[in-house]
Amino acid sequence: MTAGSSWRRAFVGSIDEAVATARWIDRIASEQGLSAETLFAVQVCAEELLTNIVRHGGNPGPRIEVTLSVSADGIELMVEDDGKPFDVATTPPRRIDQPLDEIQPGGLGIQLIHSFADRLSYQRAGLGNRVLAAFDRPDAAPVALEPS
Amino acid sequence: MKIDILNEDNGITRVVLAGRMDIEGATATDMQFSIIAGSKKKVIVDLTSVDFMASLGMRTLIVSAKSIASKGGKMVLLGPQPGVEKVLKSSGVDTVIPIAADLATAAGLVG
Repeated sequence: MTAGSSWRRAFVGSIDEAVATARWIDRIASEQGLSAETLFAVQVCAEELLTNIVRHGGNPGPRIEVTLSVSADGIELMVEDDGKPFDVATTPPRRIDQPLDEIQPGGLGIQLIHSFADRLSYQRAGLGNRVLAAFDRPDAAPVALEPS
Repeated sequence: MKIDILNEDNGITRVVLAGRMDIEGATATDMQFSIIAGSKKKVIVDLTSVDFMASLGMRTLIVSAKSIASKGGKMVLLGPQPGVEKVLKSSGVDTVIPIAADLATAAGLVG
């Protein structure tokens, strides 16, 4: 990724803090001149990653650090937490494939993260869980070619 | 998240949502959806003014649609914006709760 800007926010996981942080990411991302499609993808992944940690990461709420990095060719959202180990990148996504009366609601967030991030990786690092979701900028200006 | 309940012709209830169906929006509307799902059989959820949908928003819709279907009723989603439609379709929600582009089509689907 080329040089760019980064923003970082650290907090203790709670629903209120997750909502506030998702809004914080929305605000920064919306000021980067992204296409509506890319902005939406970042928002979906931020919401799902944070919601997942505060709902399933353990009690008391895990410590969470979010870093949003923006450059000319892409966006990276890194989320670390010290909650229960959970590899979101290799967890099989669940998609609805049964009749309505047989559906158990919930569990669709992983599928959204897999669908909306262009690249997704997980490692045990930093606070414990480290997820990196990357998004291309199809609207980015092409790299200028050297004159022949 | 704003929610308005409109009584249309033929016993159809149109639930008009506006805002974000994220964790906050889902929490704010769960109770009203529960009441609607417990008392109505033909429900159109108007998503025209919903600019964001996350998994907990879909959960609210699925729980309500199941409850309505268990009474022999039906829920239809109306007019999602492109991002919201991608969320619904990538999750397969459209296979169990039909999506209609306009009110007339939605009314026809809901019966």
